[in-house]
Amino acid sequence: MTWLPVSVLFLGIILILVVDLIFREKAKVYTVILSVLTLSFSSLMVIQTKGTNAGSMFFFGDFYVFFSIVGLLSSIIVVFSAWKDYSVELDLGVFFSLLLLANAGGILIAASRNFIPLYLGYELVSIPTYAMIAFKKKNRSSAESGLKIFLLGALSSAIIIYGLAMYYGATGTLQMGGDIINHSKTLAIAALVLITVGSSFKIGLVPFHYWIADVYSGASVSVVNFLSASSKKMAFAFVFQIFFVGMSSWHNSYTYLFAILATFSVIVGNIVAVVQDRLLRIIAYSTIAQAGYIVMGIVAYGEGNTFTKELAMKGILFHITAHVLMKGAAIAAILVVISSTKSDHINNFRGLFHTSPITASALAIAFFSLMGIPPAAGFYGKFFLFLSLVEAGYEWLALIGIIGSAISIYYYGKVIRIMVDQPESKEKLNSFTPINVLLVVLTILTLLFGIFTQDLAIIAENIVAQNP
Amino acid sequence: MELLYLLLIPISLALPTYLVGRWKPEFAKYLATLTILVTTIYNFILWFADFTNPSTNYGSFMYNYTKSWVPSVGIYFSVGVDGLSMPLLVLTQLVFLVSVVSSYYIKDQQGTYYALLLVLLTGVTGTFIALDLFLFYIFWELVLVPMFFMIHIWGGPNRKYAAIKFFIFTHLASLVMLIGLFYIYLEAYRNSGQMSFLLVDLKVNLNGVSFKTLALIFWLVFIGFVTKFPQVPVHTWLPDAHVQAPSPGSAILAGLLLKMGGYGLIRIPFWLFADVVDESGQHFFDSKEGHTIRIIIGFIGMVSMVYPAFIALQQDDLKRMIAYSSISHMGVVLLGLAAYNEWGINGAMYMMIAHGVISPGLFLLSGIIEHNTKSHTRDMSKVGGLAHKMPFTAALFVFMAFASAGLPGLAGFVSEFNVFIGLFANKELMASNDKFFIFPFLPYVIIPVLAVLSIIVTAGYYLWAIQKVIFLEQTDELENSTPAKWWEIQPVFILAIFTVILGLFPNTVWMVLDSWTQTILPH
Repeated sequence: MTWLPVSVLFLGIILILVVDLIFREKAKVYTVILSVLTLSFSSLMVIQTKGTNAGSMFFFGDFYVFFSIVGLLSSIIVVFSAWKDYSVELDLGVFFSLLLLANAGGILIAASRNFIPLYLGYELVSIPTYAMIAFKKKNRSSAESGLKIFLLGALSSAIIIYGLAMYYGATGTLQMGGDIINHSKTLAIAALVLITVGSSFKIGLVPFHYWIADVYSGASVSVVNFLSASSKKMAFAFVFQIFFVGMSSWHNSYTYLFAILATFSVIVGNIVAVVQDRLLRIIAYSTIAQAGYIVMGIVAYGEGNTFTKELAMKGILFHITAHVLMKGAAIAAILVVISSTKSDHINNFRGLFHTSPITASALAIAFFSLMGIPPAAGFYGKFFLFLSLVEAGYEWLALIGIIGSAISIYYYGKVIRIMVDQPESKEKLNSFTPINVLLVVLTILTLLFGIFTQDLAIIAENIVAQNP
Repeated sequence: MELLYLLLIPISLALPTYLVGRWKPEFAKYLATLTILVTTIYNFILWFADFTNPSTNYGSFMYNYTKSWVPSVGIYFSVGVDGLSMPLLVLTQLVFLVSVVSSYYIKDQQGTYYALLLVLLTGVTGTFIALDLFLFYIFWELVLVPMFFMIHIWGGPNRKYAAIKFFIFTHLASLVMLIGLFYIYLEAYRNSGQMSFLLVDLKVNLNGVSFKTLALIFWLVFIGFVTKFPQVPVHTWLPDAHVQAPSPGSAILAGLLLKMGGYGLIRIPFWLFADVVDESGQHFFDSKEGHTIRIIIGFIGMVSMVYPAFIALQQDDLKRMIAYSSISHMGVVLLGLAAYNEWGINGAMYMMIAHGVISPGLFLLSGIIEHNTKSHTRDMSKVGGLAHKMPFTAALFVFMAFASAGLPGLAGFVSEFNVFIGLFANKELMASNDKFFIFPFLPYVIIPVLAVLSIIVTAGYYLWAIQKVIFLEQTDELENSTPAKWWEIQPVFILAIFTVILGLFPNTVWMVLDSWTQTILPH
């Protein structure tokens, strides 16, 4: 009963592979439908299994529900992008089964209360991700990105493992939320630093961010969508589990570390994005900045009382949900352009409002959302993150966030300005109905995000109450 | 519910307008005009119902509609109007009506243009009627997006630079203001234990917060508001944005977007802190911190009134001159607030209304001149002798310029007169023996005196402009020009009528403003 969501995913994987084998050429649509069904059904099961008891190693609370569902539903965006992206080549079935496998890992991360399943869950996310990035085997840049992320991923995993060993030494347990035993302060600091460094690799914080830009611009677009919308959220779930639950009593030591990392990420991410002229690289650097904003939530969470923690958690949940919607829409829109023009250079977006209004509007609204302009989704997350920072006494960090936000207007604005200019040719883009539907749905959800805020706020309060 | 229609009608018709515009561009403008006409008439009916009802209390919120939105942090969807926002709300509809009609010259992407205009209307309306800080901020920021596109797509030659400058300046300022709003919310929460973004709750809950914190909050929100209704030194976006925007866009920018800043400044610090008293029963703006604030904003207001007036004097571009005169007039608003008495605050609010009808008129007139010259120029050195070719336009231009310069009998005079009375009646400014800490060798009285003297400069640049544009020998720029079309000139004419009404019968609006001001001044 407890592992029903994961069982559904495994069943889906087998079915997809079998269907792919049987129907070969015609299997594409079937595998898409099967993947979407599996993901939706698994989400339903996640809600069903909320609150079940499965021993001390797992806890099926609101954190589990939220992050599992965010992972599963954002994977639907990836399915649609991949449908378009790989429509001419390769067997989609294998790709989708890797995607579902990564989701199984995501669920494991979200449910863990012990470092062993948590780490296993993270590796279950990472390994399919490496394979997905290197999926176009014959494509040089795809293979290069795959190798890069694999080497760095393995390195950061090793660092985290080493940190966890130190954690065990410092607390005498691998159960999360352990207290530091006497005379092991040094070990605890070593554990904290190693785990923070490893986690910063995973979520791409400056100065551990170098892989992001290369992988984002090298891998195929639907994989970028997966990295940004899905696997990033699982990595964040991993980090939140470590710091909010695992090190909940150590907060005095990690907040300052994360405040510095957040400062660097927001400033560097935003400034470097200004000089980029390829959309995917802009997206990559903006992802670094956005990760910085979410990490600001970790700072406020670690510093404060229950009220601050609730505000920070609201900010984090709003921002993560918004991030799925806006990044999903932005990358899907870029995919539409790339598949027609073969490049993501900014000049290929000139006049997009005239040649393809739906794509351009979706991209523009996603960018306004990323800037944090209300009523788009991105505003709510930033609002609560900055509010919690002010409440926690980190006004200076909120000011850094504001400066970063102001810089971001320039480069997002640059793209929007190019899109409203007159096009060089009146040539229409090849449109693909499922992607257009996806874009419209994501855009509407981005604009009407305010409707869901109360539900997410309650989930945030529950998570704070359930965390030790 | 009533106010909800004013919000929902324009925003829900924005997408249909765009789609209609793709199908038949002409229909988009009629649909938008019709929409704005409906909201305008509806708004006038609401205003008239209150106006004729003797029991109306302008100190409290009318047509209040409050619904819980995010109860776990105290966010509400709450709208309502009082004596401060009702006149501005009516002004909003009026300025939008004249702007949509005078936009008829636009032929490029009409559907998009009119859809953005409707979104802009929602944003501006929402800013004036929102009674929840969160909601207020949403509408406040929403305004940026359509305005950005209006400048960027339909603006003048240097529009791209102006649009992004406008966006970054005002957005950055809004974010600083947002930190101030956080402080308001958090201080009210720490003080009372009630989580609420609702203005009426905050007004009560802030009572007991230390004056030092309130002063900090004041300066944070001040930066946000003052950038929007620009005062020296954060005014530099405005001349660019105004000059590059299409003339209906400039009309909205000057007539309403600047007023949003003034409204926010009056609503958030002045109204919100009105009931805050310390142990000795002293009100915030009468305390030591309050005095410092008033002296500094008085100084900023004076500089913003005098310095742009001199800059306006040397402009050749008509629109740029009017833009600088706008900054100069907004300085008057700040001076009125610095006076902090009945005359001052009423005069400041009256200036927002008066400037809201006069400056759109001037911007639209400069647009008419631009469209009717051969090389589409507004340079005063190239255009001359307008009275020969376009007599009615010329007459209106003279009229509006005099109104803006503060001719008695017209709207601008009422407010300037009262602001100056307020300044001279202000004990701190007149009787204090303290030396001005910015210029220690000058007494405070320098502020009102210099401000009054700057009116001469204002009259100077307007007279000069009138002389050059209207009365000199006709230049060949105006060779092909014909008398302005009805949709060009009628909107300005309507604004001129309101200028006369506001000048000759100021009590129509004054009464409302005054009964509102009584509720915030300490007695």
